Amino acid sequence: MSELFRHISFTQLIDFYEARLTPQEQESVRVHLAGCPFCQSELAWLKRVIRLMRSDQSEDAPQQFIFDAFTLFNLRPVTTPSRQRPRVQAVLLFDSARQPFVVGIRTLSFDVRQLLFSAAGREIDMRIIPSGALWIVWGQLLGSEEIGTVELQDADSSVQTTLNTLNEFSLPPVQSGTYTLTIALNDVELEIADMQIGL
Amino acid sequence: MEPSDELLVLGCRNGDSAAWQGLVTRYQRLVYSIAHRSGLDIEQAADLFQRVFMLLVQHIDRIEQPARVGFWIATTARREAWQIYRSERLEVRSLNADEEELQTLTDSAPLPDEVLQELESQQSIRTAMAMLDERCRILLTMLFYRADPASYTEITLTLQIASGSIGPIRARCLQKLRRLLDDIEI
Repeated sequence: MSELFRHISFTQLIDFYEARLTPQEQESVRVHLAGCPFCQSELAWLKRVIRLMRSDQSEDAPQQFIFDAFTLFNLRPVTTPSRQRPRVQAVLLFDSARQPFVVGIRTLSFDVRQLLFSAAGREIDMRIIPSGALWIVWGQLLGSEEIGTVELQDADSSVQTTLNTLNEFSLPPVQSGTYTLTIALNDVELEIADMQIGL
Repeated sequence: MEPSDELLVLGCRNGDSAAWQGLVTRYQRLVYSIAHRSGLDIEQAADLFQRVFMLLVQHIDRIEQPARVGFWIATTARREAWQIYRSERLEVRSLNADEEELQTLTDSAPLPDEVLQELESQQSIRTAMAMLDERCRILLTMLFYRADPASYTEITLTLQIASGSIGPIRARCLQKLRRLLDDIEI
C-alpha cells in the first residue's frame, strides 16, 4: 500500500481533532482527509460523539422521583388482570351540550363541553375541548388518589394516558367520532361507551 | 458490566424488581432532561416521571423490541410532556376562556425532533459508557464530560499510567465505546 492510501490511525485522528499534532502533521492529515472518504467518515463519527459528550448537560432527577418510580413496580403483581376486573358502565349526570343557554350566568367557552359521570361510587368530571380540527379530552376522577390508566378507543385507533397525582388526565387530540373511554383502576374498570366527540 | 436494555426488560417481565430499578436508574436522566427541555416546572416534571414509568410498567410485557426500550421511553416522555404542557395551558385559559383564546392553542410539541434525537443519542452514549471497563470510563469522563477537561498530568496521576500511553488508551477506549454504541443502535 502506498503512503497516500495508508489510512490515518484512530489515535492520530483524535489528536488531529483535538489539535494536538504539530503544524506539519496537522497539514499532512488534512491533505490525506481531503482524498479519503474512509478517514473522513471516521473523523465525522469522532466529532459527533465527542460533541454529544461535551454538550451533555443532563442532571440526575431528584431522588424522590426515582424512589417513587421504583415503587411503581411493586404495583405490578398486585394489579388485578384486566380480564378479572369488573367493568362498570358510567352514568351521565350532566352534559353542558344539553343545557339551555342562560343569560347572565358565567360559563366555560361555548366550544368547551363539560360532562359529569358517576360509576362505582366515583364521579368523573370531563371536558371536551376543541384544538384546531381535533378534540382534546381532559378529565378528573373526583375522590381520593388512585393509580390508573385512561384509554379512548374508536373502531380504528386508541390513545392512552395515566392519571396524575391529582387524578387528572389529558388525552392526545383525536378526530371527531364515537368513542369508548375506559379508566382502568386497580380494582375496577370504569367505562363510558358511545361517547360522541365533536359530532 | 451493566446488562443490556433487552436483558433488563426481560428481567422486568419475569418480575425482577432489580431489573426494574436498573431501567429506572438508566433512563431517569433522559426523562428528567425531556421534562426540563420541554419547559415543565418541578411539579410537572414529577408528574411526567410518574406517568412515563407507570406506562412503562404497564406496557413492559408488550414492548415489541426490548432492545429499543430507550426509544419507547423517549417517545412516551415527549408525548406525555406535551400533554402536561397543553393541559396546564388549557386549565389556566378555560377559567377565563373565550373562543378566540382557545383557538390559539396549537398542536406543536414543546420539544423539537432534533432536540429529542440529541437527548436520545446522549443517553445512548451514557449507557455505553456505563458498560465500559472502569479505566476507560474514568478516562473518557475526564476528557470529554468535564466542563474543564482534565490535563494529561491529572490523568496520569488518577489512572497511574504513563503520559505517553494516554493517547493510545484513549483511542482504544473510544473504539470500545463505538462497538458498544453499534450494539445499542445509536
